[in-house]
Amino acid sequence: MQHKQKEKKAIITVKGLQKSFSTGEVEQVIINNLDLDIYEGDFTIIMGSSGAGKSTLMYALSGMDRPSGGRILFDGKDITEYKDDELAVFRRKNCGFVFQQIYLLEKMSLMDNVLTTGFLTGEKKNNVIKRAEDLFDKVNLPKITRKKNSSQISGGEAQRVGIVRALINRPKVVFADEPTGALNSNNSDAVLDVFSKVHEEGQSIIMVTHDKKTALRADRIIYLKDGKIFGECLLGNYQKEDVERTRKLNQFLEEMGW
Amino acid sequence: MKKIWVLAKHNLKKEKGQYMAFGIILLMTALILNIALVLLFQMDKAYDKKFDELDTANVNVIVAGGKSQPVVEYNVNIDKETKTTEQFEIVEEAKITERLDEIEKEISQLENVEKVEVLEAIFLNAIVKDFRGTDFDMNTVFYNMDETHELNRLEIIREDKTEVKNPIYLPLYIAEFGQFDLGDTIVYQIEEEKVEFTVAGVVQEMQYGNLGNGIIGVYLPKETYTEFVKGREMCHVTVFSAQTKEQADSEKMMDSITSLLTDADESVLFSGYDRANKQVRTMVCNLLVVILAAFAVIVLLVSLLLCRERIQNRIEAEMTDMGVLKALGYTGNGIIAAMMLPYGIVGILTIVFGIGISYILLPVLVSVIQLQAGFWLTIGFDAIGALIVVVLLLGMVFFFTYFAARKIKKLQPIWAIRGISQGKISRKNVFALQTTKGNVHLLLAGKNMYAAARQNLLLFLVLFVLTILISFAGVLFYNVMVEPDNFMSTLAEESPDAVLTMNAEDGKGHKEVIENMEQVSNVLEYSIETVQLDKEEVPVFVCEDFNEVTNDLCYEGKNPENDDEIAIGNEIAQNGSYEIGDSITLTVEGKSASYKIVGFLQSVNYQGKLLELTKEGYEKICTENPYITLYVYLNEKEQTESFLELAEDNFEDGIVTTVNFYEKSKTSQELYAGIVQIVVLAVFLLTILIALLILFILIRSLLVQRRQELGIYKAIGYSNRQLMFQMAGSFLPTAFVAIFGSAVLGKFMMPTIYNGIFSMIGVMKHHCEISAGILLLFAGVLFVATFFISMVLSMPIKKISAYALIKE
Ligand SMILES: Nc1ncnc2c1ncn2[C@@H]1O[C@H](COP(=O)(O)OP(=O)(O)OP(=O)(O)O)[C@@H](O)[C@H]1O
Ligand SMILES: [Mg+2]
Repeated sequence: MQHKQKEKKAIITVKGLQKSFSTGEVEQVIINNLDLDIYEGDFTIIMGSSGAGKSTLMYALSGMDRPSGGRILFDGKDITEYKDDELAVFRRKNCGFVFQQIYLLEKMSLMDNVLTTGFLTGEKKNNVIKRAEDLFDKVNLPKITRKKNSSQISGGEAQRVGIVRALINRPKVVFADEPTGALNSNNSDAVLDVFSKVHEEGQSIIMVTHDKKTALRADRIIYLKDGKIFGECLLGNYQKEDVERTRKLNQFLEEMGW
Repeated sequence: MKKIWVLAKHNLKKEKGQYMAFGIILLMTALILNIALVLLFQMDKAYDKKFDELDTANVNVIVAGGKSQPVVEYNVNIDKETKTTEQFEIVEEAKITERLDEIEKEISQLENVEKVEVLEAIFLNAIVKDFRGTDFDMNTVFYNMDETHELNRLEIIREDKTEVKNPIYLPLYIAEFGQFDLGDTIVYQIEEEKVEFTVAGVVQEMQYGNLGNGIIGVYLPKETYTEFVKGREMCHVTVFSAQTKEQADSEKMMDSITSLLTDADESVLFSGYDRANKQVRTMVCNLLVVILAAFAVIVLLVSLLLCRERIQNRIEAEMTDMGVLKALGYTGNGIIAAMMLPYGIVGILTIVFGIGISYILLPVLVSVIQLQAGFWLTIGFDAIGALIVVVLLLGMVFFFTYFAARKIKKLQPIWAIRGISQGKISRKNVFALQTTKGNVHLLLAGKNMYAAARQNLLLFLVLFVLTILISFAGVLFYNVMVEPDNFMSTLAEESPDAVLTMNAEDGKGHKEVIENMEQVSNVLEYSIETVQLDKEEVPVFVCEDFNEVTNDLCYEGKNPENDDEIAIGNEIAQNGSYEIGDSITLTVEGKSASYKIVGFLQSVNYQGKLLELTKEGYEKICTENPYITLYVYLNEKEQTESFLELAEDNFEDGIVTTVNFYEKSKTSQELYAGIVQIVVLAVFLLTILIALLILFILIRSLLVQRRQELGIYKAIGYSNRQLMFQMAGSFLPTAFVAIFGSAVLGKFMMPTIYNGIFSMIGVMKHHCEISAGILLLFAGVLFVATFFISMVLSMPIKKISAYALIKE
């Protein structure tokens, strides 16, 4: 297994990543000299206790935030050297992001929230709209809801819109920060199925979760602690929830002290 | 109270820039308003004070002849070939003396007359050489300043007592505007003779003041006067000055004095009364006050709208905080007070500061005003003005902020915390991306525009009003600086480029020659003569063809075309209650004719006391004119000087005098141009500054409000440039509609505004052109400025990192 993983091509390579925040006079190191490869086509899950720096790492990888030190190579190119607008174009082209707090644009409909991203690439409008409708269907968001304004919907509905928005441009890498946090089990399954489907079609997924059931979908689980990769677990390709997979995950998490 | 103070300090600190912008606008309002009020209060007071201080007469009437004049009577039997003094027959001197004494007594017995004084002087039309670089002809009264008099006293403000040849004391207006210093030589050309004086002093007087009345006085010490009178006995006049009793109407008084004089067969050369004189002399000041007051109102409105907008914005943005504060036990009033307090503090500071600065700027304005007013205007601190400014502005600020902040009272803590908007903020999805065609960035700009509807409305109002302001300035600029003739012809009479006075015999032939000269575009026989109307001397403009004049003075009816037609000035029409169609009789040297009134004329200089006759019409009463006056219009005005030189060389024999009229009107134009330059520049800078400030406040507050939203856009891959365009773009359509809409409306509204302003100074018809081009140009400049300002102000978008939204 270990061997097989190595054959995969790394889409993101992180070297000596450093991220610290200075709050007043104290400097708090969140990510400390972290090295990591994310493989193309992988469903990678990041776990760790609250405040471990999972979101911070995701923002760094997706070019939302600049690290304090170290290098992040995306497809071989160092994105830490990009200028602001280059980073914007980079995000537009390569990354889809489901935020932990979702962050929809107010004052416009859910559909427009998605299209605001979708129309950025210059693709034919009709194709984008069609794909948006398909994705909405897949995450079980009813047609009338799509016309609603982002301030008129429930947390779970918002989360699904966030997911559609992240997927609309078929990004190379989909980042998802606890995308199922606000969903009940039925909807959660539907959403995860969408991710799995996207994964099957070859897109890479990096997801943060606190939920074991969600974690089971991963090819690979990375555990973050004290600003470093504390351990990782390879589960292999997901078919269904089998006992073996569950046992392996439980054992790993126990080792990690979760 | 302490709690409120802490909150207020927090509010103030948090948005320094916003308060600063608000402060600057308020400062400007206070500054402008204070200047307007100080001028309004003090100009009038200072004028009246000086008027009383110098015991100025309320009515002054000048009649021909004086006690020390060899009294003559026109003798019709004398040979008319040679028009010399021999034509006049000396009558007994005693008679006129008696007559004048008699009149003086009669005047003093008139109702409401407090005091009468009679002074003798020399009155003639003299050309001042090198008056601000040109020759300027003025009707000048030369006084013997050592003759004792109690009314119309002089105040010497500068004096050089060293012995000089022919000392003269000039009134402030000639000294300052004509640029004559103590010790300078001033040359008067009187007919063909040049008389030189040395400026020995500058005086202030309230009798004439400036040339607005078409007449001015200069003052000669006794010896100079005696010397000057020699050979000019025929120009002796008697000045009747009367002081009215309190509250008496000086205009009526003037009328009764003039009719008394004309009944006694005296010919009245000039008559004037205090109110008219004051109006002419304070015209520029009053215009400034009106313009400044209008400014102040506009700027005040802008600042109030802004401060309301700011507070509403704050309430929306900080509803949660406020809810928490309420939940923690702050009262609504406490929070409102904390909101208002910073505005109060900023308000007081900037208002006081603005008032202070206004006193630094006032001297600049005053120097321009006193040049025109012709008296020394000293401005002191005006406590009432300052109080009004402070109370009015602060009151308005408190009132507006309170009304905007009042909402907080109704705010329920739970609404605030849950982020439930109380407003009717529409949840409509305008410019739906799915169904609306068009560029996604344009559509998003549209969405923003809709979301910021209130801000856009504010921007619309402000830019609309600002455009009216700069349109006004633009029109003024155009008519004074670009096409100065428009403005000058409104205030002046017919203005050719050169005036040639020739002997009648030679003139006819020369006229044709001049007409054919290549640099000449037109030649008109045009002269200003004097006729008697109801025994009063009135100037009459005589022209061979009024269709060809460049400055049509007629504002109602038409100019005379036949020899039995006449047009009369508005003042004459009013006094004699003449209507168009009435007839009127004029007399020259005993010969009379009657004419039918066909039109009314206006003239600022002659204050509506003038007539127009065709050449043939005038010849009905005056056949013998030894001179012919030609108004010459050139293709290139700048060549007037060289044309005159050429004419003088060519027609040496025939020419009596020449006047470079072009230079002359340029000089009087300078007086206005200076003021207009200041006004236009001030309006322009002010407009741009206000536009800048308002955009600053709007965009800044939107940036704060939309911080997270912008972060999301960035996170999903929008670039800085795209977002800046979106932000600026959401204001541009509004700016465009407001600015160009206002400019187009201005094309129709400006005439009304200009009519109003001009009618205030007694002009019935003005020649100012409301050029669409200049309106569009100024509007265009404002729009481009708006665009750049909003782009630059949107720059901080660059600083919001995608990550900033996560931090929120
Ligand atoms: N802008 C910031 N300034 C200061 N500290 C920050 C900032 N952003 C994050 N942190 C700190 O960094 C640490 C990691 O935060 P992060 O959001 O990455 O945690 P997380 O692993 O995603 O936790 P959770 O599972 O609760 O989402 C936290 O202690 C947080 O307080
Ligand atoms: Mg997190």
